Amino acid sequence: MTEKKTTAKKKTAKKTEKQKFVPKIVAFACNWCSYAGADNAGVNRIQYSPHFRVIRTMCSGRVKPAFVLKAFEMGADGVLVSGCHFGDCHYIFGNYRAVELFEKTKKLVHLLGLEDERLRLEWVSAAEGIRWAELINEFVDQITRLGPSPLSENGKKS
Amino acid sequence: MTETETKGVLVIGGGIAGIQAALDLANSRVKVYMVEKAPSLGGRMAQLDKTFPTMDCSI
Amino acid sequence: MMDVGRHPNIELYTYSEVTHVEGKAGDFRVTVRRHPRYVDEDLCTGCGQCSDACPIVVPNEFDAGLGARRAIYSPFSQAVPNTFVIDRESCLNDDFLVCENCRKACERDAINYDVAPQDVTISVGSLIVATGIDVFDPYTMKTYGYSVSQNILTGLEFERMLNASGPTQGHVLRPTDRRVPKKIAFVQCVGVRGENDCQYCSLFCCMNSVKDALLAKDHAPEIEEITIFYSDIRAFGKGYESFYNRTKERDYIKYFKGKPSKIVEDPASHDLTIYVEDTLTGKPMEVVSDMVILASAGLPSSDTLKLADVLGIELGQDGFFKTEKENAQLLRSTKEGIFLCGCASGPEDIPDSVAQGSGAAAGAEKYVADFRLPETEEEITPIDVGGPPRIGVFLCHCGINIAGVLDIETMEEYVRSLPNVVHVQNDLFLCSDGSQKLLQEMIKEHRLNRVVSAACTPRTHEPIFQETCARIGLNPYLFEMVNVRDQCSWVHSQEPLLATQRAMDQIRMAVARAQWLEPLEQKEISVEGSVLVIGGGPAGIQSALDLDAQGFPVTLVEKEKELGGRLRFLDRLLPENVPAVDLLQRKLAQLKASGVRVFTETEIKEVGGFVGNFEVSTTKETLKVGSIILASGSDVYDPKDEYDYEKYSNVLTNMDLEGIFAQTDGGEALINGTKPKRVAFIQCVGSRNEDNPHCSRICCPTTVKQALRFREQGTDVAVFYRDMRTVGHGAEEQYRAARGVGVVFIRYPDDQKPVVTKSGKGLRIQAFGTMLNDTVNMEVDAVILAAGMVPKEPDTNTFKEMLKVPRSPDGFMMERHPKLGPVETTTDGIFLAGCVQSPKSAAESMAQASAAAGKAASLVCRERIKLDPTICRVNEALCRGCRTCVSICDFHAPELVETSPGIFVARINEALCKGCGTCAAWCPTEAIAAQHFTDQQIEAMLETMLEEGL
Repeated sequence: MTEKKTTAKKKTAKKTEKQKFVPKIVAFACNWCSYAGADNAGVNRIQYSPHFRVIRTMCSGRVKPAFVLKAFEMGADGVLVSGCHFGDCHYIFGNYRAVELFEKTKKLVHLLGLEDERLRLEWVSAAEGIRWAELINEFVDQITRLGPSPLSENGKKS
Repeated sequence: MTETETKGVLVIGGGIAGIQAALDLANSRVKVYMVEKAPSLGGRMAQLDKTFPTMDCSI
Repeated sequence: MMDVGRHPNIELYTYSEVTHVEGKAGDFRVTVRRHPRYVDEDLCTGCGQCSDACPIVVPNEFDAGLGARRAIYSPFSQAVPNTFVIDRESCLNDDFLVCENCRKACERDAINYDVAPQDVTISVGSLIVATGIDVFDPYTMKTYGYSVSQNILTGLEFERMLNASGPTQGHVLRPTDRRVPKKIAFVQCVGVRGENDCQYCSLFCCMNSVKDALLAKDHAPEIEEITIFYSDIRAFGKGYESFYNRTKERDYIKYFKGKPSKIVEDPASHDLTIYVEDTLTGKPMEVVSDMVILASAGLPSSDTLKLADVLGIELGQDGFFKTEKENAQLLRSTKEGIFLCGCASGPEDIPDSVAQGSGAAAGAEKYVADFRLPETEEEITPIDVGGPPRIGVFLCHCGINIAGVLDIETMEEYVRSLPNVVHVQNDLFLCSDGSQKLLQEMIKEHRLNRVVSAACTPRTHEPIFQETCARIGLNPYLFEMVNVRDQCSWVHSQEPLLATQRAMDQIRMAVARAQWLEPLEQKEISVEGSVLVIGGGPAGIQSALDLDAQGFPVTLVEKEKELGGRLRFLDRLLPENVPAVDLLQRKLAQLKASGVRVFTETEIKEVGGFVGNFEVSTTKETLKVGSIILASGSDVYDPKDEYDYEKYSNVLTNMDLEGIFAQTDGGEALINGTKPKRVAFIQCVGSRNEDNPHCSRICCPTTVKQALRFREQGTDVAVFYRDMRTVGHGAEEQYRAARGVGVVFIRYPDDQKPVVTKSGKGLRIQAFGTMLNDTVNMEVDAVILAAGMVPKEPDTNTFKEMLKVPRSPDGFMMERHPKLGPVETTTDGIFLAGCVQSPKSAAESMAQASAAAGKAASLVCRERIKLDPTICRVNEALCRGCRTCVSICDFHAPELVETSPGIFVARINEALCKGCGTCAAWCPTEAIAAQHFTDQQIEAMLETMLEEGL
């Protein structure tokens, strides 16, 4: 399956790889607030770093530790979980549950031997396009400074 | 006239109160006509940044 | 807002006005004049290329003039409809200068300058007036220098400044030097409460300034000091007082009681000097500030007068639409069939505006109940989606919005190589009608069983694509959308290469997820067409009557022997001083004439079931209903030994006094057999303290009303208060009238309650008067305690358990959302009315009760409701019955069932589950699947993303 990949994709990928370390970041965004906030950044044409990939979930409470662990085990350099501000959750207390789960996740990630800074939980509302953009920029910077995850291909090499 | 006429409700104003009224009626299977003098719905509330006491965004 | 634009039952006429109305309730004919937008709504995609081409720049109304827009524009980024509009006043073409830049820029030929206004005639049974509020322009107020200094803004202007998409991108900047101010001052009550001929209170400005003070510091931590100059802080609504209290804890926010006499700008530094009297010392003070925000009053909407004429309805003295007087109906105008909601009848806050919207809808519905639209559904043969995934990927250019940044050709070539992708196609505007039809043809031609589109955001367009799929029989849950515009081309336009790469990765992830998508069926459940109303006070009665008027079977259950609740013990009702007993008699007569089944002396024993299918057992009979309205009321705080209430018979509560007034039959009120020479009221008894932090909202208006009544019989009155919160229609005017007839208002400090002692036959009251800066001693014949409202116990708790509805921190029942769902609860099908949710006057309770009735009606008017299939499901073979899901779900959707003796498994009630997926995240045995967001689907995205690398 992998051999089938076309040249187009490889060309662009290689170019950036050679220049400098480009982090692999997964951002989980809840449908009602954070994902909407990211849309708001778009509507207002706020420019920010493209070095992350978004996975939409209905609620930040859906992001179970196994997803985060899987991401790190497969070589992600950073994981961001983002939901609604307290009191704003579409499911009333889903984000409180997210906090509880996140505490567990954090401990497990720590056991993997990863720096705590590689994992973050943040709140972004549907109107906070600027905040979303700033958050992504900041997180990308933070992970870039940390360097590749020790569990990633890049990290193992170095 | 053989055609039976469906009567609806007219809502004047597309701010938060009018929107709520229109949606409730429409969800009760009532035909709603909404008239708004501005080019967009939203009214005053759309202009607010965040709203008390929960501080959520207003749109 | 978007829901309105998309709702099939709503016809939207924006940029339009009502010019003529004839007929009567049940049969109105209305003429609507549609002003031309000059931009075709069907063709415009809202891309904004026209606006970029326009040479004209004018102030933007939406940003309160702080920002700019073009002559062709969209009012704001989330506008509905998203169609642009030409403002002909500023457009060059109107001055016979041929510009036509926008027409040339539009790729879809949506612009046409030769359109005339169009009149449309529609036939309606009833009308709802929701014309909102305008903001007073302080330009003419010389004392505050708004016209002189740029650094003085109105509250609305400041609100735009705080907004991230506003003119300063959310940065708090002083207009003259674009620097972050160190000191900001808010001035309350500008243009109201006696000024500018406005006697009323604008109601929302206090909380708005409190909120903006908090936000300003969040946006600009450099701000050192924020001073709020106020007369009374009116934090009256649910949750407001505790919000206000939280701001008092911030050391940078100062509350200063006093009204500035003038504000002067220093011509050199542009700093502002505020002249104000220090109410503690009586000395004049000068406060210097970098910026001043004027909490500018709300005024009747500018077209109120004209509209009143067109509709033939009356205006009140305050210039707002007048409400029906006799039955204290806040939602009815002076003409039958025309309803009012929101700020149309006077300033309201958002929660009340929303509730009134629902309430007006319930009232208006009566006149069109026979014209409900049919629940039509076409039969569509579903496409067989078995076999290996055959994925079709559709790439949208969105004009140049996507294609101008992303390399569509490269993307297309890449996507073709992805596993299971059998068809790839790109399109200029994928959402256009023609393209949607083409998409359907492609599904058939290539026997696609999964569809992925890479376009704008799923939040707006997923439903459109899903419908397109569903219409030809492809299960809509086999559609997946990638956001390559709002979250890619628009935000990474400076880095097209990286943006293209990100888009390709996200598409690959979507394709990986698509392999795991499963067709989901919307399950239908039947709905009982009847409603149960719990509580026979004014709220309960109003709900029952509204539902009955629409033809729904209603049962009203009251615990007590008599109906009427607290209405039975009241004298006259705000705002129009209607005798409570008259209103109650009329309501009871209406109830008798209606089809409402009434059970008194009946209690609820048990509630089972779920939305549309509740089973309620009462002490009389067992009922099956589709919806439940809880209107079980509140209690009046019992002062017990506070102020020796129980000890002395001349220490009364507002409620006790109401009883006395009600029995005087227009004569003089006697306390302990004699007419009192002088009485004192003490406000905030059992409210706004540690035990009951909430404001009870109705005590201040009640006290003022009673004080006026005392003055009529020559009794002297003093009122000891903390903040006079005379909110609600007419209450501020009454407060003013009370001061006019010699009622003395003495403000006592929050932490220093007055002391009442016995003195001969009468009482002595001692308090520190903050405005007098001295201790006041007063001999009075009676003391009246403004006792607040508290949740009714144990009822509130019983209903909390029974209905599984949570209580707010203040102990009252919790609404689903203070603004988005003020009468709904977190349990579908259960609604709140009246004081069970928070303290309210009788009129306000009835308005809210209408809202609850409207909500219940839109549920039970259907025979069946469809349940969203994107919910959680338990694989019973994997479930160990550990109860984790049961304990974490706030909607009580999972429950344990015994499948065989001693074996328990969780089962999720489809009607209660909201699909957040939290239980799926917590389940230790992975027995729960969050449908449409399953573990496999999410993990597939992670795997493909990380395998490939970025």
